[in-house]
This record gives sequence, C-alpha cells and structure tokens, in this order.
Amino acid sequence: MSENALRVIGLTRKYRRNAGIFDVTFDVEMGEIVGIFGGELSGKTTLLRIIAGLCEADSGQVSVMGYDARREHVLAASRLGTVIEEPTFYEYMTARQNMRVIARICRDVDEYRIDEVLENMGLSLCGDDKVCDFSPAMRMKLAIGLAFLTNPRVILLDEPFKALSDTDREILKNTVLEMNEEFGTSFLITSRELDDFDGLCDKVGVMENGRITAFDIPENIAEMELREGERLFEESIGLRKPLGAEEETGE
Amino acid sequence: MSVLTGNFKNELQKLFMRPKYVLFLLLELLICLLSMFVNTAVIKLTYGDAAEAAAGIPANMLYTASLMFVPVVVFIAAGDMFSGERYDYSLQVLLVRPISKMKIYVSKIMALLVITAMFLLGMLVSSFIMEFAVIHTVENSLSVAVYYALNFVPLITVVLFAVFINQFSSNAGMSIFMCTVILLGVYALQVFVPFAENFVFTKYLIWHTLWAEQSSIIKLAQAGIVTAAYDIIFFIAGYFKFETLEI
Repeated sequence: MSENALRVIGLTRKYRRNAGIFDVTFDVEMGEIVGIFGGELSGKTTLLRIIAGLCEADSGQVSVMGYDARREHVLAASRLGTVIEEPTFYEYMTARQNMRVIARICRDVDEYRIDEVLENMGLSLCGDDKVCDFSPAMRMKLAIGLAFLTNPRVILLDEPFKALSDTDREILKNTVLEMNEEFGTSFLITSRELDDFDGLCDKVGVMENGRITAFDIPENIAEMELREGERLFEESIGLRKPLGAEEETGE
Repeated sequence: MSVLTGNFKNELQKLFMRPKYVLFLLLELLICLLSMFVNTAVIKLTYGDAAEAAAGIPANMLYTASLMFVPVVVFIAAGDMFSGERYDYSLQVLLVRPISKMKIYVSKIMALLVITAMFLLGMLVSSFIMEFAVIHTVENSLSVAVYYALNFVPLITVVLFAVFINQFSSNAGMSIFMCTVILLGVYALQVFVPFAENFVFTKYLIWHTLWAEQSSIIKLAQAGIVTAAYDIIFFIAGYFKFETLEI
C-alpha cells in the first residue's frame, strides 16, 4: 500500500447560504500531482485554506505526511508549502527580505538557498526590489518561490496559473514536474481551466458546490467534461430536454 | 536560532522598516523642546529662574511619556502588528509556516516591549539633551533614569491591553481609535469617580511616584500584584481571541 502525502477525510465547513465544502474525501499519494478543477465559489480555496491551517473545518480530518494538520500544525506545516488565493507578502520589503523572514523561522534555509530559488523563479534580477512594485505575474512567481523555499514534501497551489502568461505557465509546469521528479514532492493544484492540468496531473478531482463530484485520471475527467459540454450545448439549442425536465416527464 | 527568536527578529525588522517610528522619535525631541519653552515662559512670567524650568524637564517628561506619548506609540505599533496584518492578510505568511500561534503572539509582544523601552529611552535622552542645552549639566541623572526604568513595568500592561483590543478589529485605524478612547475614558473615570481608581489598569502607570515617595513594601507589592493581574488577564484573553481567529 502506498503512503499518503495528504489525506482528506470527510471535510465539511459550512458558510451561510449553503456555501462551503461538504464531506470532501480524497488522498494525494507520495509523489503524486493532483489537480482540483472547479468554477468560482466551488469551494477549492476553502479546501486549501483548511489544509493549510488558515481556517478550521466543522468536521473531518486532514493529515499531511501522517501529521494531523490541526492538532500537529507545526509538524504538518513544516512539510507543507502553500500559495493561497491572492499571494500576500510584506509589501514594504524586497523579495529577498520576504524570503529571509521565512528563513528565520524554518530550518535549512540559508542565503544560498534563497539565491537558488530566486534564480529558479526568474527573479534574481529583481530580488532586491520592493514587492509593492511587482507585477501580478512576478508576485505569483515570488509566492511560488516562497512555497518552494523549504523544499516541502507537499505543495498546495491555489490557481497558480491565473496571473501567468503562456510562457510563464509552461515554466511553472516544468518547475512542478522537475520538483516532483527530483524530490518526489507531491502537489495539490487548483484551477478553473481543465487545460491547465494537461501533461501535469496524475489525477484530477472535479469540485462543484463544495463537493468532489469526480476523481479520476485526467483523460477520463476530460472525456466526462466533454460529454457534459455536449449535453449542455444540445440542451441550449433544444436538441435535448434539460435533465430536470426529463425526470419530470418520466414521473 | 530558535523559532521564537527568529520571529522576534522578523517582528522588529517589520517595525523598524516603517519610517513613522523614526518620525515619532523626532517628535519626542520636539515635545521636550516645546515643553521646555512653555515651562521657561511660565517661569519668566512668574519672575522665577529660567534654569529651574530646564532642570525639571526629564522628570516632568516622564509623566507625558508614561501617560500619553508611549501608550499612543504602542497603540499604533500594535495596530500595525495585529489588525494591520489581518487587514492586508500578511499574517497568512506566518500562519501557514511551522510556527505555533503562541510563538507568533509572544514574539509580537516582545517586539512591542522593545518599542516601548526604546521610546521611554528616547524621551529620557531627549529631555537630558534639553536640560543640558540650557543649564549645561544634567541634575539627578541616575535617579531620573531609574524612574524611567521603573515606569517600563506598568507600560507592559498597556502593551498587553493594546494587543487584546487589537483582536477585535481587522482595521488598524479602528483599533488605535478604540485603544485611545478606552484609555482616555479610564483616565476620565479616575478623575470623576475616585473610587474606581482602585480597579483600573492605568492606576500605577506613573508608579515611580510610589518609589519616589518611599512607599511601604506592602503598597509596592499591592501595585505589583494589581499590575501583574492585569497583565495575565490581558495576555490570556488576547491569546484566546488570537488563537481562534481566522484570516
């Protein structure tokens, strides 16, 4: 049996108006790259925020490398790299100073490692510039660099491709694949575009209204989404009755 | 370097990177200067000796520092460190890292205590400079310095009070306003309801007077216990709110 890098069991967090996530269960195995595909307000960010320890679940359990993300936060967080929502930094500091802040509280991060990560993320020339002057793409690169800084075993990336150009997307995909291959790092990546997971993910979960509705290899998910697209198209041009209407007629 | 020390350095760096704290230090010098001019003018009008005015500056400025100036600086710094970081979500940077909330909370308080000590020292040095400029000597420098050091202890309660209030708002401006209004309200209460003075946390803010008057050990112990009790209450209540907050 393969060991799980990340295990999410029955995670539920309810907000007002039926928003939130409900009974989310899935595993990310060691060295696996898993994508979570879903639209706006589908619950992707809430899921990642709970895993990262930024908010608490009403029920359910999350473990990172076998450590309970809530009760053993420090042990779990030391194995986790996180980029959630809009990346946040100390705006009045430079990229390098932001990295030093992390270096002071995490072991095994020295100036050499900071230079290495800045170089890998293509930020070595602007490492001494203040973050408030960074473009959205540069901010995303820095956030990803900060997540990679401690060489964590599991990395959470919340819509990392959103602010990036096509070239930067390819660079990020290659970086993810390299880290995965070289260090066996596991990834949980969310996106609103299924195409972002092409050639990247081992498995993809589909999240709708706070629930994981499908969890399979990318090819099967793509086929399922294609069929769903066709069905919606046929419904819109009147070739097929909407799903609810068919049920009503059947009754 | 331990995680706590590391983050303490982070918090200090964050505070010292904001130019407003350098301005506040310059403001201390300006306040001392203004205070000396006002004192000199008043004494000249009453046909007194101008040198008398300058000689009392360091001791007089301790009241200004302990009762108003340093508390306001502490409120602003606490607003930057707690509410401000919640407002711009930069607190997330630490919350997703391998550091417990207790260590984040304690390291921020330690940095606030350093700021408090720094501004008390700033006021002492500024007032000594003013005194020296006028009468070319510094009178009772050791005892005045000891009084400044003693007044650091009750200011710890002000730091913990500011931290506690900051847990109720994610807007730094609102937190500073709330802290200032409550502090002024407590001062007003002390004036208008003398009985209430025994129960407020600001009672011993100028407790160097107790030492100057050579009060009994029992009175000093009572002051210490009341101050420590408020410290414990504000620390625990503040941490409880901080521990449960979600960004």
